[in-house]
Amino acid sequence: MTAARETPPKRYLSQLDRDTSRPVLVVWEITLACDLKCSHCGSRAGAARSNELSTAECLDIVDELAALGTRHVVLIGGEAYLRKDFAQIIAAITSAGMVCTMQTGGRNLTPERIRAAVDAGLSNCGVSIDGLRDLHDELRGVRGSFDAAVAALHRLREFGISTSVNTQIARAVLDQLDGILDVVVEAGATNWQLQLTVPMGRASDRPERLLQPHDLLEVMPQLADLYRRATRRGVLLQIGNNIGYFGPFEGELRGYGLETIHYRGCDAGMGGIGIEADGKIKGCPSLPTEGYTGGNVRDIDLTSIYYDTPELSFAREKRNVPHSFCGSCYYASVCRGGCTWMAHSLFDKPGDNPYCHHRALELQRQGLRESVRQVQAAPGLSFDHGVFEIAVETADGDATDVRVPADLTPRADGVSATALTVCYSCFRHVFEGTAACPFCAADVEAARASYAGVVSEAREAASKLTALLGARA
Amino acid sequence: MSDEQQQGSVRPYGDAIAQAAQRGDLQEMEDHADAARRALAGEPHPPSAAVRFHQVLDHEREAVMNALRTLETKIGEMRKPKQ
Repeated sequence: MTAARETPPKRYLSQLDRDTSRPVLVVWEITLACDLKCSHCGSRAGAARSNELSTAECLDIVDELAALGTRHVVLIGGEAYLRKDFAQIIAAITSAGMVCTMQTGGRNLTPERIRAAVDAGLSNCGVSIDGLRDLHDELRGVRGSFDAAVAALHRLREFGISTSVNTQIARAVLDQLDGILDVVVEAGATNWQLQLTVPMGRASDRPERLLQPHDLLEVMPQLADLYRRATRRGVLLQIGNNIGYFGPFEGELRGYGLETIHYRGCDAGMGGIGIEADGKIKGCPSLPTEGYTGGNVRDIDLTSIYYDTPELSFAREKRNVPHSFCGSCYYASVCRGGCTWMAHSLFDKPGDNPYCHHRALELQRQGLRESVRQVQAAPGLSFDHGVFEIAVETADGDATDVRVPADLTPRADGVSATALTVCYSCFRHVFEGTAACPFCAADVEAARASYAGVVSEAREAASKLTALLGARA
Repeated sequence: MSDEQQQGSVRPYGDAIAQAAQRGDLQEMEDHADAARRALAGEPHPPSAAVRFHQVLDHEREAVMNALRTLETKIGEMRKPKQ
């Protein structure tokens, strides 16, 4: 119920940005060359692409991005610093008035490279840490990569660069998240982004490492608890768009405590662009190259690719979710099938994402759960994927004859089609105008009033403490 | 509907992180309770503490403990639906 105002960050999407689908955030793979061998790498990075953009072509892209209204460019790879002109590209971005940040594994992020980035105007650097030492080194394919990543975090701070940490959630890392939080805090990083490992690229070669959709029943409370502990230690935990959706922790994890905030569906091509190192343009950097590339900047201008090609505009259009749980979902009109990256990597089509908390909870209510299993391997190309199928099981994991599970959550007549509010009895999102919560049966308005009363009494007690203890110098 | 609701998910970054991390009624109340517990115990506040209280004097102890007890009860009521 708090509605604190703040200075919006550059990547914040205003209503005007949304209305015009302005590409505020651009994630740019400037090279596929990499000094790590990550077993979950979606782009199968290692060697540079054979025809990567020249420096002059990169500088042209910077000009086009500035003209399009981009405010924040994230450089990724491969390993972005392996391009000899990476600092020149950073300088061009910042000179054009855009924020430039970088994501790295940090293995060879030397003081010289950091100095060059600082001088060019880099404002933040995210470093990937996917486990504690042994697990991280195993996943990253290089012994010593954990120590190098941690050293990079400290070194960046010494140069005055703010830092963040990214972590992929594969099965093995779940028990190490607490330990990684300690690493994040000790390194002085200010935020920590978590996302699920998606079966794309090399990650699709090791499907046994993935979480199963029903694991979200345990993972989401774990993440909520982790969020609270991280916040108390000065770290903001942020969940990625592929961690879904609409459970009781939605407002806490996606709204950072503001309960009314919620997931709004795949925003590929609606507020961002992904650029591959050879000039291919996608609506999201994580999407498959095939089927989601609108064109190449060597052939057509960026503005035309962004606004006029169906490969980028697909998420801007209202789309019918295919025959699936997501198609029957209570939240279908808002969520529209969740993260396209996850859905397409699993099923070779968008619109059905089983890695969803609401879906897992609803199936649990029906005595069911879902598992995915790979039925076709990936061919071995950058940003490729295999094919998975869903098995609908009993809660104990036994087979069922259910082929396509459905969401049986009732939706009352006459409620809003798209605007959601919160039931303060169970903290699930419900459509505005809903009288009785479909999840806990509470009177939504009465629950709101009751919660407001509790908050008021809590504020009174907090004010009393402040009066007693806060005024003395 | 507030502007933030209309604008959807906020992605805090840079200077916005600290403010975003302090948002929310529950977090704000927990910050106060944590600060009061530290004040009662005479423990220092961590650098990231959003609320800082001074150490409790003897004559304040009972009033502080009563207020903290009330606050903890209300926090429990606020947290319960999420558990």
